Amino acid sequence: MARSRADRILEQWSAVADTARPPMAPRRRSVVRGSLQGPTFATVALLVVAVAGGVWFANQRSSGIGDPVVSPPAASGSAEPSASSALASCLPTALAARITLWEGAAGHRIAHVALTNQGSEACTISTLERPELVDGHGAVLIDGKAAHASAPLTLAPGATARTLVQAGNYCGRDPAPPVSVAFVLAGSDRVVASPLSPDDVTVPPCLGTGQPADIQMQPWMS
Amino acid sequence: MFVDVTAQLAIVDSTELAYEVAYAEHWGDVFRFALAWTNDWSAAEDLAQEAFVRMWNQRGRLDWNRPVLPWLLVTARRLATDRFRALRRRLLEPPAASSPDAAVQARWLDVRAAMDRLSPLERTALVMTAIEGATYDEAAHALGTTAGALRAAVSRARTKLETA
Repeated sequence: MARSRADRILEQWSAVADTARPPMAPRRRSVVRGSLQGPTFATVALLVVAVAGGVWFANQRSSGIGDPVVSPPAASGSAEPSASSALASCLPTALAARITLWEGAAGHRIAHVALTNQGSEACTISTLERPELVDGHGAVLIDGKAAHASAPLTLAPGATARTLVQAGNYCGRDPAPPVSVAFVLAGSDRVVASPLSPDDVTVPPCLGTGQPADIQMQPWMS
Repeated sequence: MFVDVTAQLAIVDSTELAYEVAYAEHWGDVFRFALAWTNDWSAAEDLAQEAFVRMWNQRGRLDWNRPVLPWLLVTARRLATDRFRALRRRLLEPPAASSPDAAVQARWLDVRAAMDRLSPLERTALVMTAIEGATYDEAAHALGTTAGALRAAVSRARTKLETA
């Protein structure tokens, strides 16, 4: 009897999955590589600040995305976190955002977004903004929550910051292409990222109409 | 899949040895479960590892005389549904060094694309029952649902794959 298409796919899945090999020794410590959690975060942050001569790190706990885990601040780079308040906030017209990749994971869709300061002067953005999933007509498909106060990130001219935006449980109508991600800046200005492609209609799968849709972002990082 | 190590563990007086036996016997099971749920190779590797880390951390409270695989799968599923996990990992981790080689990667991308049409529940329910040999009750327990819902998920999954 001929195998069904589903059976063939499952057979291929099994064959590929069986090629995975575990590390040689059992792991007995957290394997979230590069992540810092709880007290470790504070300890490392203090060390980095000491070494770098006072780089920023503030308010990550109030990021509004829960259990925030942040990377050590870079001691150098084109887009450095800064506690300076002397610089002006970036004008939306000076910012260009673009989606560089969509990924799927555990029922969610994750957009990799790059944000570049196209202006001629350095300026600051909040490391957390209110994210939105928007379609080609500008309709907001999923509206994120307003970010709590967050540390400013300085963007030098030409510098690029990156973030990940995770969206989940979209049960609405079919969106008009292209779907993209927008960020609502202070003062209600918006920066809409260029879509991955003109006909992109990436939306997260509907996991249940009884559950709200959600969209959240990681802090902008250099 | 559910050939467990209970018999071995019951006579092992060393928790550490029991843990290592469980690791050797079940890492692949947990990885495949996580792979089905996430449809993401490196995420599945992480989840499998993290599930065993949790097992080690809770070794003193585990009943080693009972099958450990159901506990591992439930733990992996809970870790996978941590909606912040994927973001955290992607933002902070370098690419996984243990990603499949090029040939496997190409095959994986094909299979992944087909399986991406399914929800995590549908994918995992189908894999567990059709490939891993789990009963509906076993799979339902691991996935935190009922056998009826799981049966429906398997049916939907097959329909989606047939029409992909």
